[in-house]
Amino acid sequence: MAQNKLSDISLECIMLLKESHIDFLIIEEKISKMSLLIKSEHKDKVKKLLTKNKYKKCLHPYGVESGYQFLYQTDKLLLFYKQEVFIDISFQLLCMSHTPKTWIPLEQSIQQSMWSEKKYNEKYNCWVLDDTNYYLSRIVECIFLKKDFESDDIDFFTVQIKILEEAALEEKFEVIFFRFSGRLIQLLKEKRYMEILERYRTFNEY
Amino acid sequence: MSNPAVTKLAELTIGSSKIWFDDNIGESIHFHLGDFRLDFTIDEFRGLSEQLYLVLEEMYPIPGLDLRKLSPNYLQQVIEYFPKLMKVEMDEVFLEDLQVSKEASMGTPRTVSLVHSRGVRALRGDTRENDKPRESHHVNQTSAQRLDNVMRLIRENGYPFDDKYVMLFNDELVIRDGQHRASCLYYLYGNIKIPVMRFIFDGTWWENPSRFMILNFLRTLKRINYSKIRRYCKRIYHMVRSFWWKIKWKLFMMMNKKLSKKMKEIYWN
Repeated sequence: MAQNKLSDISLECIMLLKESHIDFLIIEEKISKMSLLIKSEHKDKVKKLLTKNKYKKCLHPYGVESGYQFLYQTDKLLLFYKQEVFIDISFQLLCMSHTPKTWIPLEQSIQQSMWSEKKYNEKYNCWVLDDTNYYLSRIVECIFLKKDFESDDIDFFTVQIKILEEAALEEKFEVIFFRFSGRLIQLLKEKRYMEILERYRTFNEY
Repeated sequence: MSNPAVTKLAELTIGSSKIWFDDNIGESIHFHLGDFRLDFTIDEFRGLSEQLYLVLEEMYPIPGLDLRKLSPNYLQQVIEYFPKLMKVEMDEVFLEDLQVSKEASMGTPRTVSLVHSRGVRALRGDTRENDKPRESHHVNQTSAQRLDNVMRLIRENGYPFDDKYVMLFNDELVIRDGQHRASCLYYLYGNIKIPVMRFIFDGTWWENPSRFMILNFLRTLKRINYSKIRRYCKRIYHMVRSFWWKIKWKLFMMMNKKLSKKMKEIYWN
């Protein structure tokens, strides 16, 4: 998880979720937005809980009202806000497909590993996404959603470069990128970020 | 979960069976026939393509026909009429004599001179018609991207490139394939004479649009069928839904100016 200070609203939200025994993980926390992964079976509970505690539901920029579709019966994204802090909720770790404006869930084994490999954040007393899965989610976001490696992404990947030695990460890359995964790891190790998208698009060794 | 990097290459319906090819980057090329699937490597797919060309050449030994001179996408559209194809001839025509089909109001077809085609108008700066969403038969390309690509290829390789010609039927001047190429050539060189390929059919299996819109509209009414009505209803539903969402967003942005500014910073920076 990105190491930023949690806002008071985010802390309040975490407290509410814990008190209601809702299973959740923090994916990412920025100044005005906290991204949460919540178990699908708690979807209705979390909607009622946040609404009751004066969190307002709003249109999600990547949601159905923005023309996005969610395949394979994936749960739609939710977005709440309170005092200009957004709480972005997803129920599976999603990936933008090559088909425009189409979300698909990442492989089931990755979804399961997020819950089984979660790590505990002592400071905020809650579960967060482990480093490997967080790294994976940032890569997937850069390649499929943003289609760009921005400067803060590059800084993050450069700092976390040792994670590329982990066999678990390579296995996860393989179920998303298939035969390109070896090439992807090599490009990341060599910090050739700007070449990744073009190399992926033109990859033909399969 | 499937490969996120999937591109549909081609799709066809034969009777009640849907057939399609998709490219799954890093994995394989899939051929789907209903629930049945075959996986190909890229080399195997190219090999299959070559074999299919050989089969078609055996089936249709038509004088002057070289299937490799046709764009594969167009070949798919015209292949069912090959039993009526008598021969293929080369000819030369002036660009300003050529006509293009376009969709006029209420979806009725009509023909206009190449000079007034959406391709030429787009190249001259009027992109309104070319930018409209339309079903291009080129994979993952909008009309604008297709036009840019063709212009680049013509500047680099001239015409014809890759042995592919603008295509006409019988003695007509309506472009059947190659509108982008013709538009780019006209924009670059004006009213020059270009080599074209003519498919000479036994009789006409196609209907040319009339000059009169009302006649075209009446013809369209004659051909209405349920699947067409369903398609139009679906299109109208999607347009209304999309319009409603735009209104919802506009209202949200208007009523929450500070919040929407923050949202833009976070999500669309």
